[in-house]
Amino acid sequence: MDRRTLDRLASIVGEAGIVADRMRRLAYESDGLTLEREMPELVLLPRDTDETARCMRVLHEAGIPVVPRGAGTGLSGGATPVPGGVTIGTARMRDVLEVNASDRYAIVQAGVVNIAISRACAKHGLFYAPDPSSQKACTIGGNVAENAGGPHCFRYGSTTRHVLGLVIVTAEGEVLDLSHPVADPDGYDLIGLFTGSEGMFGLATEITIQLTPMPAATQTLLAIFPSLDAACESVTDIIAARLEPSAIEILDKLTIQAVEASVFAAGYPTDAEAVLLLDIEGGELEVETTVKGIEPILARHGRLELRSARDAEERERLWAGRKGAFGAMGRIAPDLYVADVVVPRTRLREIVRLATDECTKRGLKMSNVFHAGDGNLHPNISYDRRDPDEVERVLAAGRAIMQACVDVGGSLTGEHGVGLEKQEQMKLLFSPADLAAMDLARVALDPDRRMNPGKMLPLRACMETRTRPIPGGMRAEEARP
Amino acid sequence: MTESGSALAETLARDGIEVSHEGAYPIAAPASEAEVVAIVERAARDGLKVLPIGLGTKLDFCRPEAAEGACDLALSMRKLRDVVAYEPGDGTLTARAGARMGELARTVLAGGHRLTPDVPHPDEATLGGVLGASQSGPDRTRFGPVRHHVLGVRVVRSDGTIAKSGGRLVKNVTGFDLHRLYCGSRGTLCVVLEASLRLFAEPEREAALTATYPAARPALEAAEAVRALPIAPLAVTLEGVDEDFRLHVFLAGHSEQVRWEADEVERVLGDAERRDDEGARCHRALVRDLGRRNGRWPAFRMVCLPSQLPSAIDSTRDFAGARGLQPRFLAQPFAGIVDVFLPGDAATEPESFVALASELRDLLAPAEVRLDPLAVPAAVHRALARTNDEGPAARWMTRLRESFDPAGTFASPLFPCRA
Repeated sequence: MDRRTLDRLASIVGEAGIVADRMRRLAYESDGLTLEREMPELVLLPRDTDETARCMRVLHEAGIPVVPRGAGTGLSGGATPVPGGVTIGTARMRDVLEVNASDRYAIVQAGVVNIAISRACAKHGLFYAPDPSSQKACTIGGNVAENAGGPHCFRYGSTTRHVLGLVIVTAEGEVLDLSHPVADPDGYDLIGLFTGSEGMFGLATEITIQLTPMPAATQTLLAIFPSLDAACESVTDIIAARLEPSAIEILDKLTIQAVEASVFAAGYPTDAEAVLLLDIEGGELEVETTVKGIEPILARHGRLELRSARDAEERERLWAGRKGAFGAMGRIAPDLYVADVVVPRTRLREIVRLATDECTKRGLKMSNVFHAGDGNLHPNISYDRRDPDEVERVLAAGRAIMQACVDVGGSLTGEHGVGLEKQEQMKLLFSPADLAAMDLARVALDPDRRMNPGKMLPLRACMETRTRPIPGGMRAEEARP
Repeated sequence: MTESGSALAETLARDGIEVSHEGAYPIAAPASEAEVVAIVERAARDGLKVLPIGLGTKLDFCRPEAAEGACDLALSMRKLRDVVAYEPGDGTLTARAGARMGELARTVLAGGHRLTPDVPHPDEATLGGVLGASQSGPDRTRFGPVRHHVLGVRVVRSDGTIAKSGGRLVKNVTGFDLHRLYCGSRGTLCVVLEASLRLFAEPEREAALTATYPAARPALEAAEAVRALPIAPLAVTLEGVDEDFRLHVFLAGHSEQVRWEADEVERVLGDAERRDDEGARCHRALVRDLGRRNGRWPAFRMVCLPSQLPSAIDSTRDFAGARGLQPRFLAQPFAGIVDVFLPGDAATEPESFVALASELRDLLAPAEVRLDPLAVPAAVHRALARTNDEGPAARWMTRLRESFDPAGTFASPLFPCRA
């Protein structure tokens, strides 16, 4: 990067908004997919839309690729830097700008942490429904980029159903203000298209989100099963019976044991082969009726025990165990590969078995914790990335699981996004014509392909390219102002 | 009818594709996907403009003017109407674009599911038409707009290639959500061949409560009181004219819960007429069908924050009243949507209608109330259409349209921006 460009960027964001030092940039070299690493040329942390737009205009003029980044909790490599590129983080955009209780929306900056939104509007009896497991750390901007999910999306839907408006800074540095929250878009649904676009159309700096009234009643059930199969079959039958809990989660034995040995210990029985965690929400009588419908299904599949949370504290503990499960896996091995496949809900048991077999035959340790109600599986493979052979086996198992899901009508990702991790597998699911249609949107909104280049779309199929450092440019630390 | 359109129609008819001549342009009704592709390819090659439609009931939403050469041929998907897959165990439905919404609703009801959106006159509405217009029914109060429940689509692009987006899964973030972009794009980006939808459980019981008010404002206050209750109504609809307004609250779910909710709503509304189960379902259908009265769609749709509804309706009533017009309103208060019907002869003088529409839009704009033209003369559509130099959003839309349809094969000159 030339000194003039660096000076211009520094003058916009100030000292607090620029990370040029190599040691500090190390923190940005990957997101939660630690297998993929790349040092960013520079990291910018603008404070608001205006600073972001000014930075983007400078980068546009200089032809420098941009990688947007929230908290870096993503698991697909969506925020992995690109060579010669600048990472723009939203860490300093952390203001809740407006909470409108009567019209049930909030406007927040992109760097606001997911759970902070619900905290900000709790006094009005409202909450923000999508609840990724990382909700204590992940940001709403990242949630929008990945169309994030979470356990309670079974009832409430993923992020896209809750985004009412956006302020987007385009690749050229223009500000697209779509923040006013109204029921239907004026023209094309740009907000729906942008949500889940993995930072490839622009950078969202402000998000208008829909707030949901807290349910009148909630009951949390924990069903303990003698086998993972039985837990999966229970879920298939609950769906087929058209019962509608708000969350249906399964944890297998290895996950339970890891959680119980961690700070997230929730009181799950460590000798159980699987537990099914359910939230049932709604009116009091509705909850009562739904529970009555679910109980015989669980019994028919041989549940050993059925617990019901007695109070909010116990409910919170049971869910803390579930949401802390990925963190707890650190006890098993230093690294964790979190797959994120989706299958029709009638094929759950079959694919869980297959995933287990694929890992077992490669000598890998796999655990399961997943959003069973949505058919969204997370086979988690514990490994050590210092062992290249094990890394290769992990990736091979991941590919085999994705292929199996596609073969039964499933998909590559339910909530983590494609990023770098599943980029090549896109060709399993989509034809060249399908991918070409996606590329039409890409080139329309970012003709130079500078926004998060080399992600999601397979490289050759869509002319998407991995960028290379600009020849003759100097490293950022060399050109520091 | 354009000369080139007639020539194309003749060629298609010779190839065995059904072509009718009912209106301003010939309507081709292909019987297979291959025929759809052939029509689009042919039109693209000859530089003709094709308007994708279902049964043609929503042409008013964006009427192209054949006289100005904006449309050579309409492509009706009405013959492609099969259910591709109904998966009761998975709660999903995939159907071809020409499938009638009423038929689809009856199909899934047999498996205990409910289809959303519950649009007016569902036996005259096709799946493709509903998606193209992003049309909702009163049940969006509970389920939200239709774009939230489209899981995936297969389409024909303007160059004749078939492409899919999304899939048939209830949760899926693989690739760009082009199906959301197509939803509401009014046929300007592609022809939808088939779509997959998420289904919901058919409720055990329904109830309907109707209260009458002398004006919109007290009815909306009552709606707000219902909204404050710890319940999730299936639909809340306000309809009326002048000094005669009715608020309809529809409830659906488990028997005991619905009974309790109906008691609560009755307590809030006071003197309300209550209907249960079959009576409630019939009443829901009646109110739903008010969305298209006597074969006519509303002239305008106002879109705003729910809190702005009372002033939006009052301002429109006063504005129209001063011009001797008595508008009829049909509102979904929780969504902030109001449809405005004007008397049948209001459009007889297009020039004064254009002036009325422009003035009304300017009147409502400061309160951030958006006025979208629906069933109005083409001149009004033209007057209210934005141009593609009106800011970054219009430019993004223009760029998308040019990218997906570089030759301008899909005719709709006033949406999303004036060509």
